[in-house]
Amino acid sequence: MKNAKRICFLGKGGIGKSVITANLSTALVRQGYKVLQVGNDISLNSTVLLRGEQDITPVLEEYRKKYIINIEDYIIKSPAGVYCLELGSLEPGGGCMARGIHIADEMLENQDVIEKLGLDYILYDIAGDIPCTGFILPMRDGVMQKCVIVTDGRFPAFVTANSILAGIVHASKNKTLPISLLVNYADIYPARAQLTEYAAAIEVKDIAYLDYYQKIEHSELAGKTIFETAPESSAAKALLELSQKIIEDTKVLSLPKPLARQDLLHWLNHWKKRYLAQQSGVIGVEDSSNI
Amino acid sequence: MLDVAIHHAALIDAEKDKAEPMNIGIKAGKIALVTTEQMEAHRVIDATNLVVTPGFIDVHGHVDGYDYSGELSACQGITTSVGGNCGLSPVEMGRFFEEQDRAGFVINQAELVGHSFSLRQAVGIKDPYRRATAKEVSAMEDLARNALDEGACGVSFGLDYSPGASAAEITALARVCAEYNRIMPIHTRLFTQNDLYSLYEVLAIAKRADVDLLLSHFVYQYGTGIMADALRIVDEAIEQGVRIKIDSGMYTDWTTFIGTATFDEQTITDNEMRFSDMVVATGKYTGTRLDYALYKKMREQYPMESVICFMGDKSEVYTALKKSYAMPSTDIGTYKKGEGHPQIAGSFPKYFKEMVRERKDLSLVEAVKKATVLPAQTFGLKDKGVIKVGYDADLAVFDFAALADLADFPDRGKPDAKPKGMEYVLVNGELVVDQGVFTGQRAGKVIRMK
Repeated sequence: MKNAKRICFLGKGGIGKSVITANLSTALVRQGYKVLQVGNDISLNSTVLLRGEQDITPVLEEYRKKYIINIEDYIIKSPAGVYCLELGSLEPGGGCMARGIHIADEMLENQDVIEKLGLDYILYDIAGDIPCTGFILPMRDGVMQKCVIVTDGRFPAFVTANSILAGIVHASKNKTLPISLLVNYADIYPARAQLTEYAAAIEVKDIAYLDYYQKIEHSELAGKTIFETAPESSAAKALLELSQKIIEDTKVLSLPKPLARQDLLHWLNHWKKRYLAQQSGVIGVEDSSNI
Repeated sequence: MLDVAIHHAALIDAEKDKAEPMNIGIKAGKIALVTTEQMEAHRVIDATNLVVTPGFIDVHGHVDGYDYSGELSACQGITTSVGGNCGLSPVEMGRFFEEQDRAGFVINQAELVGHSFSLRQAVGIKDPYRRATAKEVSAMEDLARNALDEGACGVSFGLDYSPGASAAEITALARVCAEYNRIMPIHTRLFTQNDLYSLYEVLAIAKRADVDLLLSHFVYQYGTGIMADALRIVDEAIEQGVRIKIDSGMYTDWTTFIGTATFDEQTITDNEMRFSDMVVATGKYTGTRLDYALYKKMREQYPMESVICFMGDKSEVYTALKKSYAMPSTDIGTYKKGEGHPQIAGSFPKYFKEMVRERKDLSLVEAVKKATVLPAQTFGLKDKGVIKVGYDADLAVFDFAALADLADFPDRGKPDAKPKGMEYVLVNGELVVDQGVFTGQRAGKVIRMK
């Protein structure tokens, strides 16, 4: 039986998770892999760059009405060849999403979709800022072969990333995990410096960086992936390389030690001072690598 | 001559939807006469001012041949108990029935074969978080078929106790259950406190397998503020043609073994449970509230002792039991004297006292139906649940105005205090409770489903 590698992307809303995931899905397809991207945002926005104008019906909302569904009916293929599935959300206030990914994942397996579509990768783009248990379950229960925690250099994103890591570590009961930290807008101070230091401090061995590219921003605004708008650009090249690094390698294991609250506050204060220094034109030697 | 005659009772006739004064004659374990005439019998009971109803059928219990649980059931007016719930049961059903026949038992017992502990263990699965392999699923199907062939009344599940069970595994056994046209009682698994997907997963399985579903102790699962949502989901499924009943006790505070996955630290955190809201129900610490140290000690040294967890919203008990498809149940376990949860001794009297007499949520006739004819129909128990000539003489005779539960939680009172007002209980025509006193008669029979 075919076994697809499942990789989930987690992180604060609004830092570019879906844009990155959609571009990585496309990058993988361009390398000859079969890829399914699964989103769970209420806006169905995860796959929008892939499918453009094509409508998509959120599968779990239908499941809650019909109980038995053929999950393949809810998968659409993007023009670039990425399979797209949107889970949809809850009726706001009704229940909890804890089992959403589990249930969808079990359907993919039981209904032989992985086999039928010959999937090599399933990329889960998981929206949600609070690392409640539900959110962490798929990691705990070994559904995922790898977790990619996406963050940028801004403090809210960083704090969320730290909490998600803490949640995963707690739920997985201190097993080593294939976890990687992906720094978006890495060249915007203090992202690279701060997160490199952070990864070392908390013992995450796998860290990847994606700089800011105007071409990616524009492709997003155009509702497309970079591979449609500027396939030969350096941005596209960076994403291809990223896909190779982050996705193909699921063997780097870490046992992260996320910062406790007090340490986190010290850390934030320290970096605010450095950020202020940078803004004021006083750049320390230790940060020169970031320029 | 008749064996027993009950005179001057207000007979609750579920079929005619009313109570009327009537006399009942019993011969050879069956109801022989229902008449306004006076009768002669070896034993004549004057039931003036008392109500007579069919004996109650407890659709969710864990009596499983344990004498004291039988006694506590009988004293509540329960004449038939369905055991083997929550996935915990005998696996060799034929042997269990023979043992019960040989030893005799106070009340009638129907028995389910259970998946989550028993069948899984029988095929060698020790880790509750692991799914069964295809080979193990097939072995469980064979064992379930054997048990159903030997008369088990369905296949039960306690998915909280096997969180790793796959949809494929559950569906396979649901199909076996459907094949035999028997019931599938299921204690759902909630991964977090508000996990309503616990219902959807079961509805999908029931629809796929075309099986009759009984959602077990519904209030213990959803009585935490999400009852309205949970019942709406059930209502919608019924409208879609899924065959569902639910059962519930009169308490929101549930109990189970401290060693189970339900009491895993992660689960406790996820569900925002507090150690101070837990009280030990059995063993040397009975009546003691937990703290972390005692919790750890009990998990390690006394995993098979029961602990009660106080939680939930009491009003949701009534909301659930008012539903036309809801039946009262006890969730009675096997406890020593002086131990346990008050549900073991108080459930049915409490149901009548609170929902009929005090709150008037249900009329007496409605309440009786839900405790008798509805469970009999649900499980296909022939000759039970109605007072009719030719039917089994399983009867409860009680003082409706006085009926009350006296059992309380072990940190406050006696969990096994017998109720008051239950004057006579007959099982197959024999008095197992006589003038409010338990007689010890082993009048019950095992019910082998065909």
